Amino acid sequence: MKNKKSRNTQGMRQWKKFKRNKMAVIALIVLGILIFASAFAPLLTSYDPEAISLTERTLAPSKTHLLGTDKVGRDVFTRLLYGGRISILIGLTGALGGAIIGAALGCLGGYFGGLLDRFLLRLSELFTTFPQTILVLILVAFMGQGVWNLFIVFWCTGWMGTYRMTRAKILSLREETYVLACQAFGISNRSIMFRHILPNAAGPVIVNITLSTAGYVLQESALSFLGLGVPSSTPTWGNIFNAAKALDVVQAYPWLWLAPGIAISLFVLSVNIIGDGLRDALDPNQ
Amino acid sequence: MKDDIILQVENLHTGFLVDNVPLEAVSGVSFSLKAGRVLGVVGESGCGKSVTAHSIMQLLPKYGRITEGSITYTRATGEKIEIQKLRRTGNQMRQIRGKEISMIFQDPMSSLNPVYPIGDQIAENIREHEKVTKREALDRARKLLEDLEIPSAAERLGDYPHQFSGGMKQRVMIAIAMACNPRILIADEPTTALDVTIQAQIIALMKKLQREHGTSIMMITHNMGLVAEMADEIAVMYMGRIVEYGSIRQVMKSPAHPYTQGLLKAVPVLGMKKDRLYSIKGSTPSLVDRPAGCEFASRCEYATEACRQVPRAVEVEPGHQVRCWNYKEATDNG
Repeated sequence: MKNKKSRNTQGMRQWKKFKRNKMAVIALIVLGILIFASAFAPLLTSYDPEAISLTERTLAPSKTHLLGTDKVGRDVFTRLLYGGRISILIGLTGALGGAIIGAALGCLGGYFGGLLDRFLLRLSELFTTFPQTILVLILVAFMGQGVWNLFIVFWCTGWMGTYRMTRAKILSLREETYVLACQAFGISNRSIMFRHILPNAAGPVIVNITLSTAGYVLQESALSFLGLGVPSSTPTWGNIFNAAKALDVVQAYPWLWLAPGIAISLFVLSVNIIGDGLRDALDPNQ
Repeated sequence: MKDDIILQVENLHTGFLVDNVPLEAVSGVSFSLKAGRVLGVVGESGCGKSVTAHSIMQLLPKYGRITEGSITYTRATGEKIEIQKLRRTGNQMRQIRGKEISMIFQDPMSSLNPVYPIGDQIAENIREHEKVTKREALDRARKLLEDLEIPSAAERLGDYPHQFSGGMKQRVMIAIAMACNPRILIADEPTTALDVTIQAQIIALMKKLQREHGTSIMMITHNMGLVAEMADEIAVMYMGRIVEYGSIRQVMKSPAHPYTQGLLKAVPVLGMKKDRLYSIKGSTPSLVDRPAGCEFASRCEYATEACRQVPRAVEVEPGHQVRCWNYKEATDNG
């Protein structure tokens, strides 16, 4: 029973540390609201995000349409909520997937070294030297548009940063005495790699995940803006933002691009700040 | 049972590949560890003490190799295992490490993982080798900490290594090493990084554990006082060889090798009147150009022509071996 108590206090201590960072707490609330609003979109709005109404085109924000309507009469607020679902999903899964692949490969290469390490290093260099945007464009051109294809594209092109970071960290960490001690106690290589060394390298990896989450949301927007991301019928923040391609929209209907712009900025900012806070809270050496 | 040999090291040679040139750090070490006894391995830095220990655990760095000799471990069942034949990272080796032979290291500050509470680290070792639930393992961890006299052990299980002092960390290390009741504990300079009062506590604890569990301990140190206090047998190493080997009484009372004599003379004694401590002249030759013959000859007062040949181990009295041509002369004058 006592053990349980001490384990709780440990989590509490980290939570307390996190709470002391006011910015991070505010960011967490903002992120919570964004995720909540997207997840429960049908409860917050009665409109269909894809329903076209030619009689209500480009209406300014009002009581009936909180953020106005777009050029084919779809409710912007509704589209923003539904679009958040896919944008956030793409951002998080893209970043997490890339980070998991990168961290796992970095662990393997850094810990075992030798031929495997050299092969992975060259592979990552190959991927890095190729301009990422072009790589994404090529992959999208081959595989076509779609949410799943975007995931795969982001995973394939997004693991190198985390991989290099993890590998570098593990190269130095594997020389630590506690790794030798683990070996002396008969703990398996897999457990040493992933349970003992990796958490020590977790700080920069977590920050990297949050930074790239934001990056992927932006990239999804960019690709959708170029018409290469998610099909334009599916609402995403990038697709909504897409409207700003036309000059008359930029000049005359600011609500069409301001709303998704603010949503993207809020999301990206809050994720970054949370990442910072997490890194500080999880570091036991502080 | 008492005098059963559980670890037999025979003619062990361990070398390192440095710039593709093999260097021998341990050349022909033989000793045996008896059940429930403490063997002290003494010698200066770089004499091959730690390499010997790492060879036994198969924890040598990448470029280290056991080139010759054998390390035989006898299980409780009587089964004999030749450790040097096992794969370094193989399952069999892993089952021996921690469970049958365990090790504690010199620097407790860096031998615990900073990101896990110590309770988890002790429990992990138990769960690696035995089928128990996490709760049972943590409970055993608490008992171990209590045995090691850590105050309010139950609450401290959730603490991280940085919340402990050096001496406390070394106790935690001992707790991890002893978690599965290993039959052999290799202690690689366990007190070197600690201050003197803590050293005494740790040694007292290790003695207590050894008495209670009947663990055999291989104690590596350069502290003569520590060896005298703990060990039953002692092996003095110099340049990768055991130069003198015998029971603690034999070696301390009548050291036969000039090097052992020098080491003992260099220990300060309370109330001594000399201005300066004795020191052995010269310095250890480099492993790269190892002198032919007896490695100690260039620093030895008794060196003669005979010392150009590597001396064989001679038995001075039953169980007391020395590797010196002129040990008779040395014993008479020393």
